[in-house]
Amino acid sequence: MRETVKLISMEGFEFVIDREAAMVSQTIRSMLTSPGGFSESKDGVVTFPDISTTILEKICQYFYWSLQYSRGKETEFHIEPELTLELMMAANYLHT
Amino acid sequence: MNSSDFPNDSRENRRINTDGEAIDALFMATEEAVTRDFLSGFQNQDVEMEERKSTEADVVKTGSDYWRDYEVKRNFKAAKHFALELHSDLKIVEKTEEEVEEEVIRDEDKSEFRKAKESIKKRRQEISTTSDMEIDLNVRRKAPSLVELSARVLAQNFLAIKSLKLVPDHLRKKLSYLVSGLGEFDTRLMELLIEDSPSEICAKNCVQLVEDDLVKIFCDCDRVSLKVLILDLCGRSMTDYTINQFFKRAPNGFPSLTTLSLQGAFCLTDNALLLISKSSPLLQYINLTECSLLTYRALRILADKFGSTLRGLSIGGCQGIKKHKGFSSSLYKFEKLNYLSVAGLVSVNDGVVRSFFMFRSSILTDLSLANCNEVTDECMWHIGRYCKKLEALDITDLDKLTDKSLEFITEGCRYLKSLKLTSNRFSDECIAAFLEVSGGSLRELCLNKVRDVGPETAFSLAKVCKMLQFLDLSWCRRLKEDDLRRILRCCSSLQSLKLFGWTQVEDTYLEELSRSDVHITGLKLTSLYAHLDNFYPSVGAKFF
Repeated sequence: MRETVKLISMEGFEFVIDREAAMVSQTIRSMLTSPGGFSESKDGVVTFPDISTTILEKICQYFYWSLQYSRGKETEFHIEPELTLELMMAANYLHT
Repeated sequence: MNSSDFPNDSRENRRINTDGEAIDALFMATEEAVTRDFLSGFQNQDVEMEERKSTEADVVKTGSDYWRDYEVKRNFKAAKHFALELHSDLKIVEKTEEEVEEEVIRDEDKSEFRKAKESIKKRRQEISTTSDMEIDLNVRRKAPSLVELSARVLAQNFLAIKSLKLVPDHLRKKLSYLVSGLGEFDTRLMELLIEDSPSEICAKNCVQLVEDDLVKIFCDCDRVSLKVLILDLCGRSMTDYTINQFFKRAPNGFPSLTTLSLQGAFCLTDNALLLISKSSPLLQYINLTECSLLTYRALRILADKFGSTLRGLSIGGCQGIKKHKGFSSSLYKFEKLNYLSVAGLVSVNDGVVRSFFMFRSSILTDLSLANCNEVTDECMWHIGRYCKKLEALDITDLDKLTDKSLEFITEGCRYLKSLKLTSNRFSDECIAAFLEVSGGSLRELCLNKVRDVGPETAFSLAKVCKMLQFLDLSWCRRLKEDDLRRILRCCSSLQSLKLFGWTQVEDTYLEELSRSDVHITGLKLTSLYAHLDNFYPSVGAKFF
């Protein structure tokens, strides 16, 4: 069975995604792999109180697109203009 | 220093009254010694480096003794020549440059550069065409980052942005550069960039701004927290009127500013620069590239104001800075420069920069002498000798350089990460030898229009340059498809490759290249404007 992690948005929406996909983000990778018994690495649940549901959904889509891209399936990743500023800020925080 | 300490200069019959003149006289006195050193290569480096450190102190301490000794020696030499002329049967036998050079090589162990050159000559037979060199097409290509993707879309729709509050400085900078690239940078975006007290304001294309816009922007921004101000191509708006109006409204100017870039400010005058420098006491990096109204006086202003603090100076393309005796002495006053660009200045020649290199260049890391047509091998010798910490060097388009120059650089500058040799006449073996010795640390190499680049260079590139990220081989037409295969296969860190002017690549191979992980520009794969990319950082890019 594939390992999954749960990402929770500001409004409480939960996104269950593959651990490999989540690891595209350096910030999430650090949370899940750092030693010291942090709750994120124990439970596989990461909460983002500053990231809205719409943005977190787009970020999860990017994680999967990024994996596909690195495996040779080079498609375009579409971003709606109205999301760009908030998405850029969130992506900056997540180091993706 | 007392002027009476110095005897009259017999050539000009005048007293030395100022420190500047004393320094000039010292350089004249050491010129013969320097020429002698230039012939004998890199002998006794460490000893001379120690001597160099104490030279200035010695001049101050024992000024009169030094000049007295110098006069005695010179008179003795003149008398000897006169006597030998009278008795012409006793002829002075002087060795030619070549003989001196051979002697030095015989006496000392051969330099690494020469050893590399010899091994390259030996290996010529070994280099065979390698059809087995295929590019690994299963390399995992890295996806563009989400920050990059969203910033691009945001730049295309920047008119819809209402505010950039809470956006960190580095993201504002990225957005600003992307919009500048689209040529749509205007007052509205500038107002967005200055809100919320940023520490950096970066605008690479201010063509659309006018004088009153700039005055308003200067007055509205939080000048106390502003540390970096980049207003490139602000020629129309950066005038005396703008500066005077601004200082009328804000006499304190920019108290915290450390970095200022006004590239292409073609209306900026010496007087305006004086006002700016007075109001920015903490300036450490200043870029005045292509500010064509500035004269040598501008350099003097900067030298007097920031001589002991300035770390980066770019005055490339300032054609108003003509040949003047004050140029050399002003340059000499900069004690802590890490970065210097004098690209394209007609006033720059070996003599002008010699004093700077001899006494002030030990901490220099980035240097651009591009298009300084008077620069010769002697200047490169000084760079190799004194600029030990050099990391980036741009010697584009210097017609008078020979293979000797590259040897001097190889022997002296062991930490080079970026080297631009565009349009120079170095031989294939010479470049290959340089790469064998110093190629391991290179991150960026530009061999654009270096006609003799051939299989030797390609072999050395593939063998040694494992850290290379940016490579420009445009118009290197002696290279073959196999050489390109070898480079792409072996240079594992390569990110970007320029191949303008390459007609020697087959269509089938082009298809393979299009799937490689390296960003290739210049072939049929790319558009006409692909060379206007941001992939190749210029010398000094890390400062501005």
